[in-house]
Amino acid sequence: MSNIMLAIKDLEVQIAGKAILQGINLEVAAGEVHAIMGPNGSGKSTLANVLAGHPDYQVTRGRVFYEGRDLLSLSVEQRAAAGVFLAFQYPVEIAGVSNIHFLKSALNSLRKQRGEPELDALDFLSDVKAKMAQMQMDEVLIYRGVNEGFSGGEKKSNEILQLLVLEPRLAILDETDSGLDIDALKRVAAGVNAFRSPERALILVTHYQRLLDYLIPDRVHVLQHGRIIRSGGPELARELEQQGYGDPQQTALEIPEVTDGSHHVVK
Amino acid sequence: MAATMLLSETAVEKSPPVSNWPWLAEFRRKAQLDFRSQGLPNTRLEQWKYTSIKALADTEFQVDTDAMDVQSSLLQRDKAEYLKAEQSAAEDDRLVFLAGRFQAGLSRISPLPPGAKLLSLRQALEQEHPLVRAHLGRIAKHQGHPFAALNSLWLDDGLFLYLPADCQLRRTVHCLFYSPSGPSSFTSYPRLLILLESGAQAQLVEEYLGSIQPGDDNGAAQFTDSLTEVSLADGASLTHCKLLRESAQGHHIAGLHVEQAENSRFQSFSLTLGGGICRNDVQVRLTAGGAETRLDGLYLLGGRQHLDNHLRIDHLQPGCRSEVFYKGILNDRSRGVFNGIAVVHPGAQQSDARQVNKNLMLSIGAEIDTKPELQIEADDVQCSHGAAVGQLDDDALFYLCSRGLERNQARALLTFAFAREALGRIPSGPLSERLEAMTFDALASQMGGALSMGRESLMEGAL
Repeated sequence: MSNIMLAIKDLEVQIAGKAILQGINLEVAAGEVHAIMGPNGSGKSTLANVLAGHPDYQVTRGRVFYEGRDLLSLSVEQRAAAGVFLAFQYPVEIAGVSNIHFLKSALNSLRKQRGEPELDALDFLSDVKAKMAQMQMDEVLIYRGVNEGFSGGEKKSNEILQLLVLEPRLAILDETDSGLDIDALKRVAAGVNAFRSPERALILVTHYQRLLDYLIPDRVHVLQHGRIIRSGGPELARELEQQGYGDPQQTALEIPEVTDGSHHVVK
Repeated sequence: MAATMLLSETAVEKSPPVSNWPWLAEFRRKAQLDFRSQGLPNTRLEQWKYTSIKALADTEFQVDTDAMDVQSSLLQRDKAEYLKAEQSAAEDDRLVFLAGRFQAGLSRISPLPPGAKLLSLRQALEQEHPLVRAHLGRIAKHQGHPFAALNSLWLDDGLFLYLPADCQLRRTVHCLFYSPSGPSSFTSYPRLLILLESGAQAQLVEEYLGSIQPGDDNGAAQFTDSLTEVSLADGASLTHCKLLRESAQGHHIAGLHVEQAENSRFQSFSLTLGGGICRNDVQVRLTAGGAETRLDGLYLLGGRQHLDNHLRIDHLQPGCRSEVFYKGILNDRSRGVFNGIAVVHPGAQQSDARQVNKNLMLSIGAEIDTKPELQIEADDVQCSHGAAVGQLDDDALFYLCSRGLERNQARALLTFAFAREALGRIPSGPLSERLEAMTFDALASQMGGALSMGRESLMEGAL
């Protein structure tokens, strides 16, 4: 398997001394779409954040290889330059920095880190406008402060706009579907589908199956108590939708109860 | 050997030789008494608790004309910079002062509407203008303001602006006070007297510029003690901008005293980008209903700079509004002081007074002492005040870096965004663009080129 883009091995992660991820193993190949599903508190967002390099999370064990490089040794911006992108569950509002300036600085910074020349301003603007049209976003949003006063749907669309403009190779979408109505969900999914290619991989972190109706995954993983307890094809997502993650006694999933996690202590 | 003296030495015979008129000699004599009864302030006084002027008090300043010649030679050297500035504000009426002295050759005053007066204070004094005599020292009180008394004692030149009723000055009046730091210490005492009759409107920029050449930071100390008096009659409106760009050797203590009549409007923006020991004392008296004042400010402090913003607004009659919004960015070992007080006097019902001061601390060695205050002696009022001191938002930094921005670039961007909220309160136009560009450049040089992607790009788009 020479086209493995991301390899996570025995990853254990803590936040403020509390163990969240307790031995994650996952391989994602270029061109693949993986969905990470699981109940609230299972560690899905932690996994997404730790891959992007969020400083609050401490890796206590394990390794992550991205295109053969030790991902965990890279700074946040180096990961971005290497082609890793996280679409935030809660995109941050930054008043005073226009969306267009933010996009342009980000792209030029990525290009600079890769040793590429800066973009022509006009080409850049027309590229952004074309991608906004594709996302059915109102053009005025690029002149507003980053996510400033955006609706929930506009924020999520803005994340996907950044994805399309910055063109990473590995995109991690953290609950991009949450809080979206069906039309917004379709627009976001269409944007993400446009991003898909044999050279790019996607990790979709989601609570619900509904996004996966529009973005068909190659693999679905169920995360619970900081571990992947089950993996399967797209049919697994539908099974979860019908039967829930819930209590092992009431589902056919036979999810084993984890009793040794320290998170049980902290309540 | 050039004659020198300390700020505290106030012998009248050393006073500048323009007081040929008995009223001015009397004015100075009174100022001298007012100063002597207080002396230079020290940190035991509540109003000066956080600002020590000891270093200033101990500096010997030259008082003869040799120093003026040195200043002139520095001016010749920096003329190219002037011409640049001249172009950037081509629409303004421009009055240039060198070490406090009006420079007719570098200034430009376009034809004025009937009855309007715009001239240097020295010219106004020479013409013994009755308005100057009637109003000089009427608004700025010496008691509690020793540097105002000192200014009155030594005043020599400055600005006189008078607009008759309903007169609107279309062009901005831009006063540039240039005090380069050279080999000798020098003081200047600019005095500005602004009188707007009912319904008159004007825009005024007071810019204090120190050395343009970075090497001049090692020059001798310069001290400016400026005093601006503003009288706004019924319905008059003044938009004012105070721009402080002194060098690290440029010390600056300024008074801005404003008296407002019914339905008048005063809007001021104070931008501080550089200086040594600096202080702005702003005193606004709202003397009749409907008077409205808005004081906005932004300060960007670095090195060992010290800035003290002291603001006092007196609501003397019912139905007046005041709003204060100051933001500060403190780097290195700089120190900031903010003390704003709104006083609502007995009977001043339906007063609306708001105050906000927010500070962004970029360095562990920087310090801010902030104290917004309200003193309310009426029961039907709307008043609020708040202060904040914080650092850059970690979530926002992570967000920017996750998109590829380098950490120092992300910090610079967020810092500029913080400044922009204050800059956004200046009415949009050539002035706001100039101040924004100036702030950007100051920030870029302070953050070591981290804003290298260029200001044009950052200015893009309305916010």
